[in-house]
Amino acid sequence: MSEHHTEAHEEVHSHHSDTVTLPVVGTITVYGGLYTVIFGVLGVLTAIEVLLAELFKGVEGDVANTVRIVALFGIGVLKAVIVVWFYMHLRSDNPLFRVVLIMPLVIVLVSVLYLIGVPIGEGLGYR
Amino acid sequence: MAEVSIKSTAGHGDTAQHNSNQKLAMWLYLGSEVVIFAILIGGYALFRFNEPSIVKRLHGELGIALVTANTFLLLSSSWAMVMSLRAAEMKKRGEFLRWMWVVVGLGVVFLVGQYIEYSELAHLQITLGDVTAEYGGFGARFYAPTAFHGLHVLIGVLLGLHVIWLGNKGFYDDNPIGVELFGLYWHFVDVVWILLFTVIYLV
Repeated sequence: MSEHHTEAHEEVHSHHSDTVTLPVVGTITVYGGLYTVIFGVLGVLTAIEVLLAELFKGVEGDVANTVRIVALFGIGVLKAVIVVWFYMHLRSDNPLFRVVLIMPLVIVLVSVLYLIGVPIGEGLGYR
Repeated sequence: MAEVSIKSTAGHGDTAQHNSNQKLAMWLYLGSEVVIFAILIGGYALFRFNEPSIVKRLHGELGIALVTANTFLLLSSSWAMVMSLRAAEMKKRGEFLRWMWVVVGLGVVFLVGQYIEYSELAHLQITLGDVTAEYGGFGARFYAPTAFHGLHVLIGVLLGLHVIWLGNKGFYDDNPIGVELFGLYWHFVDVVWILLFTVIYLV
């Protein structure tokens, strides 16, 4: 049995426990353990996101608007990462899965940025 | 007389490898979905930055109460999904099935919420084509990612029912990999909505 499989196996069983140790808070027991704690975190982040969006909806100025957009994107991406890392078990599964997820995203982002950034009729010299 | 026992070479290790292979296959599929959704979301984002006034007006007309509720629904369904898998791994079939019903139920409610939202947009005459100059161009950029996502939720609901049907027959009692694979799909659908919610409704 590979070392990775043993680690993943232990990770699976640790996720069955209702007891979870958190930074600052310490050890708590809640039904569902870490999964329930993560759900709570996602709920709080969503509430913060919505409050941020609504309270600063009519903000004037490029700088203030940019900060608002970056903050909202940041929270959105953080939530997505949390779901992928904990609920989709990416933290304990084969590291290859991370590559499989991230690589297409990077390729698409680079491609889209190229299409946006390069003026029509230029680029690689094709007309 | 010497006893000869033939030990089977197939066992826990082979099952683990098979499970890992299946998970890789699912991740490869999700990787392809990342490409599609990234392009669709990118298309909307481009429109959003080029036509901020149209989007601002629409945000004012629609509000975000319904979609916020929908977001909490999908987050809850993601939690229910992981609880379902946890129960399946702990060989608690009844609990696993009950959580799966919660997942499917929340998925259905989410689709109802999307239908209500689309109805509100139809009242504003926002359609796929550029019918009104007031919201020109918004329709296609909005419906493409959200409807494609909605289709994934619908397929997820149907797959979830299939998982429940198989689970009821004891299919996942010994190896809940099928539940985990469905869970990967369902969580991915939730991740896409998290990003759609932020990009389309909040920004």
